[in-house]
Amino acid sequence: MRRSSRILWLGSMLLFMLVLSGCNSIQYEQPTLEDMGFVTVMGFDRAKGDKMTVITAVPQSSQQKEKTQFYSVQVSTSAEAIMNIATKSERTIVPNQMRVILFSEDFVKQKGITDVVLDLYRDPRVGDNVVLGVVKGKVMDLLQGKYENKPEMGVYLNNLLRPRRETAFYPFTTIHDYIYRTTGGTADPLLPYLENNSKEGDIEITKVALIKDGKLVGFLTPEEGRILQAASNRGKVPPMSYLIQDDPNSDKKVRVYLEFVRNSIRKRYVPIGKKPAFEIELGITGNLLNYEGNRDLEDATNLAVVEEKIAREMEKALKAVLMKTTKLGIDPTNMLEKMRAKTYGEWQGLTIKKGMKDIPVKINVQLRITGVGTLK
Amino acid sequence: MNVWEWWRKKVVESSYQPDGDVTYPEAKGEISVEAIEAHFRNVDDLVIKNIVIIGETVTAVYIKTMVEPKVVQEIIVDPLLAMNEYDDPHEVLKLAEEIHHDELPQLLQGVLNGDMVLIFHTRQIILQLPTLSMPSRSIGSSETESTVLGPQDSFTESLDTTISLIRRRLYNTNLKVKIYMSGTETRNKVAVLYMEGIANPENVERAIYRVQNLEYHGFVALPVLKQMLEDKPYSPFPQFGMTTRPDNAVAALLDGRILIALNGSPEAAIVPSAFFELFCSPEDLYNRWLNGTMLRFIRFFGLFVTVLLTSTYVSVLTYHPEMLPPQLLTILTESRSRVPFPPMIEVLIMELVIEVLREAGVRMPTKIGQTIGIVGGIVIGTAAVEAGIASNILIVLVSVSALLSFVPSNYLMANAIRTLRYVFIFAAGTLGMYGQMLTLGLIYAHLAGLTSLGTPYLAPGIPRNMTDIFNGLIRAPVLFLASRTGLSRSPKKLQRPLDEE
Amino acid sequence: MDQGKYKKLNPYHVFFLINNTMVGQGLLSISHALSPVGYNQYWIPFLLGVVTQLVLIPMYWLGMRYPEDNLYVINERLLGKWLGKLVNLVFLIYLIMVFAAVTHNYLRLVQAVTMPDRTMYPALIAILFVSCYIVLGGIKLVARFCMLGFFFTAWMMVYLHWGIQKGEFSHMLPLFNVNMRDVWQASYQAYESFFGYELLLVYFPYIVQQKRSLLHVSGGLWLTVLVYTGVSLVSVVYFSEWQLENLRYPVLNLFKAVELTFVERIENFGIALWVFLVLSTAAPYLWAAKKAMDAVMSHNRRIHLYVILVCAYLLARVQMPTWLRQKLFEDWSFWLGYTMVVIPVLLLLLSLIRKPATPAKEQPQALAETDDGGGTQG
Repeated sequence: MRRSSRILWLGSMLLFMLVLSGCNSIQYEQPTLEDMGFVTVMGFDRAKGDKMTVITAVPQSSQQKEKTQFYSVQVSTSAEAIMNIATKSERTIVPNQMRVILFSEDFVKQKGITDVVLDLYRDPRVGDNVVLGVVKGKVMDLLQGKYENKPEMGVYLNNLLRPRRETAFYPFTTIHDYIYRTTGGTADPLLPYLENNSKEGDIEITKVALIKDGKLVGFLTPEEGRILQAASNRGKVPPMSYLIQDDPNSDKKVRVYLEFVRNSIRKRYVPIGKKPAFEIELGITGNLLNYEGNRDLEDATNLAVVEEKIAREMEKALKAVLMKTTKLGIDPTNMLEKMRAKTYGEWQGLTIKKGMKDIPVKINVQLRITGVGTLK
Repeated sequence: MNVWEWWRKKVVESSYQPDGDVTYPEAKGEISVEAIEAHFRNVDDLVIKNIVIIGETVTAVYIKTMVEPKVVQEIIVDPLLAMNEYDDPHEVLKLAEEIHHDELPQLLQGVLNGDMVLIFHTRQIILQLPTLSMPSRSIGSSETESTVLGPQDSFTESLDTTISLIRRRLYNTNLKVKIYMSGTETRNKVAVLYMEGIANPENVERAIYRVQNLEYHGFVALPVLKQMLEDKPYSPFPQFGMTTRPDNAVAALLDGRILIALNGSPEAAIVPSAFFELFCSPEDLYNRWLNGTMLRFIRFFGLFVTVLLTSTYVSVLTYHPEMLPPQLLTILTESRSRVPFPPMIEVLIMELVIEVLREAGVRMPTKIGQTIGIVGGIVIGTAAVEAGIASNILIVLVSVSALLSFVPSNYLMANAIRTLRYVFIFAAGTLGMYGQMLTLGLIYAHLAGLTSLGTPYLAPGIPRNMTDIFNGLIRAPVLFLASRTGLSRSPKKLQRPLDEE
Repeated sequence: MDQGKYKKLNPYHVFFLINNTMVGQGLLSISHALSPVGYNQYWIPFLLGVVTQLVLIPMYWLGMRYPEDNLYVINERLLGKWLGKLVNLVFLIYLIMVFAAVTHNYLRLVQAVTMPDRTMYPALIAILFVSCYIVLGGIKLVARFCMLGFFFTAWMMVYLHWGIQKGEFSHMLPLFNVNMRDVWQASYQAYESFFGYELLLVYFPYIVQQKRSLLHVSGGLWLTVLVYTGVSLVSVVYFSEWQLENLRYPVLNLFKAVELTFVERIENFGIALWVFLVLSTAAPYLWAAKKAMDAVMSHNRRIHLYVILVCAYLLARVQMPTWLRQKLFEDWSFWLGYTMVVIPVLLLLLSLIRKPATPAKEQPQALAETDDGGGTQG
């Protein structure tokens, strides 16, 4: 390299140090960590007319105790919200650390959430892994409730909504998942439904909200949610319990409690002639944790009988759920994807969904119990 | 660039002077006691002594600070006293070399080097005897490159000791030692050592050419000489290796490298050297291969961590707060909320404090230095957090990155990295993570353009030989180490035959 | 060690030069550019790879006929001095435009993601400076930087597995559910991501193993195809068609899907690291532009490089109407890119007509410029 390029290298150092750092003084001072208020939870309530009330939870850090500040504004689009809130706070309010977005039941029913979620999806500062949820009553009431012995609101809600095996009856729907499902034309998003359990001072996920075109159309109970999750995706199957008709001589039903190890799910599109039809094969491996019947489960034939009975129960449950959802014209199991994968030409998701309830679905559950617990 | 050229021309013009007062040993001049006295005017440690031996006046000339009286007695006085009238002084003083009467400059140089000159006035003989005897530091263990295993001796300031330490390990006539004079004023000795047949002749030629073409008033230490020999003097990175350990030096010679040593400096420069090598220690080879590999990984990736750790703190806190997990965010906000400076200033303060601590520790006597290090580190760290000058996480980061910056085995490399860290901090403060990565790119581009004696500095990152991977970042088991590095371009590629047994 | 050598690009240099010049420009938005065919996009890169491979053959042929000349000299030799210079000038404008577009597009992304409230001119100056520094090291340093750019960023492909985990593989079906118009539309849009190999003829004279260079070039090309196919496959699996169509930088959102325990929002880091890819695309273009300017001015001067940098800076900074900017950076540079691909074919035909099979032996003009901006180190 010639001499002058060496000079250039030296010059680089100077340039970096002087010129670039000098830019700071011209602009407003770059806010740093402690000058920023991080929105961790954002809530949407319906306000009068076309407007909405946006509530943001901004954790305030102080030496002794963490507390959360709430700011709420009435705006007509969600993009305005952050902007308007910024004027209310002494800190720069940024959505970079957002983790949870909540909608009030009313808001989801009347207004639809797709626009709001899209707005947030568009903002590069908002991550794609932000969880969505629906709240009974007003979000404001839920957020400002008193929760003893609970961490700061953002952390609390985030921990509550992150997927765990025990609560896996509701889907863990992030912004990306929501947009993906809403725009995909096959599956429909599901959201957890939160209730403020003010008696016990905590928040509970009680139901699964069914969303169609961004609007709330119905609910599933946790039991329904569990079997639906088992049929939707591999991996996370929550524990379930069923009542089975065990003793042929008596009418009394026996409760069994199952913990699952593994599931395999095969959804197939098997048109009969020109008419569409689906087949769902669900294979589950699990442990029987609690069995109140009289059979000796050490015996293989007895176990096979019980397995068979539980499997039939599950089939029944799944069938019921699918009846319920297809009647609403939604597809939470993403069956239609299999149909789309075999359909040439443009995909007519909407028209097909309208006729969903007439498409026959054959359900087949295979249960294998590998363990029956330690206590006889 | 014209301004630069102009300025340089001015410098050259203003500094030009004919070197009239430089005399070379090859020059001629008539020898006489008066002439010697004239040259050594005002040199009070010069001894010119007339001794009468069997009726003949003999003038002895030597410098008493370089010659011990005992040596004078043993080597010169005793034999001379035992001499018979008709004995030839050459026979008596077997080590003597005769100087012709017109070789005054050589005589002067000899005296300056600690020789004694005897002028036999009647017989018209001038003899020069090697009497150099002065106390020098004894061979100790290396301070800068200490290891647990392996040889513990290290070079001393005496060039002779340095060369002898190498010779004690290499009994081979192929070890060539070429000694040149360097420094127009100091006229000190520079040695170029290499293994003939193993070192690349082109490299040897280049190294000797550079050593011979140095014009400088005098080198006080090898690091200065090294900087003048290097390919890119403007670069912050050392382009030649430097060692004080004879085992390191011998390994380099055996690999086909060339050593350059300066009398009066206890180091030897290894040319050519590669960037990666400056992170290696001879101990990597003394350890088992897996352990050696792990240590190399730590040293090399420590480089990235040390330049990126504190600067990432700056960029994340200033531009990318979303990258912090919630728990970390809570801790950081809490401790940052009491700090009155922006992150960049905060980091700079703490980095400078560490730097000052290090510097103070080095300058102080060893015992005080240690105390300063420990007390300063703990007290200042705790106090800074309590006083709200820095956040507690930053203290951890700064200490880790300071520790990691001392990991490279080459001290100059460690210094270069520490300096570069500030560039990264500035870049992170102004442009965030993008700035950091851009600076990393700039430094890579710089490194990829560097050469060490004409060979790429980034080798084997820039591929030379396929076999280099066995002794690069990974230190393979010894069975794999069969070839010399591609960097040294040795004519003998293999260290040992491959088809043993 | 190869001080002053004219031939300096080893096979692996050629391989990574080709690969990185393409990838740095196209990877960020390849799935978006391919979106007209929706879920069927993952096999289009293969198609485009075949097309590129076919175009490379005449380029290589032309290069072998004039092994000592770069494209600009060939232009002047075959088209005559004035027409040749005119064509070179057009190339120069194209190269500057691509250089400006590559850096500017990347900076827009950086700004959008990491610092929406800051002006970008310090960042722009910084990136121009670094690419200038790389180019000053000569084509060999450019090639070395490309190598590093590849190894520094290739490991990021690991993060794609988050997208695969969450996605639906059935999106890959039904196969070939497209009409020709959409395929044409997508290929046309996405072929921009394959630009970068047209610089081959500019650095062809520096290649050591010219005879076998077609192999190395093709290797680089197919690595690109592999990378593009991988990314667009993951995009297909992870996104819905609507998302593919509307997300400008799908790779950014693929990064956003990553969840690690010790650090969140890894896309900030990914985008920052992307600067290596951008630099390894921008630097070859800058180098080629400098060569083009040398050819146009008939002198080999360093000031040309600075002039080009200033032009690029102004192109990115000067306030111009959006339609003009779009025309400039998207439509025109697009068309000029196609021109630069087609011209070698025309030149080859011309050379076959004019001088059948006499390889040029003496070319004082080309040899006079033994080395570019100081790229003498080994």
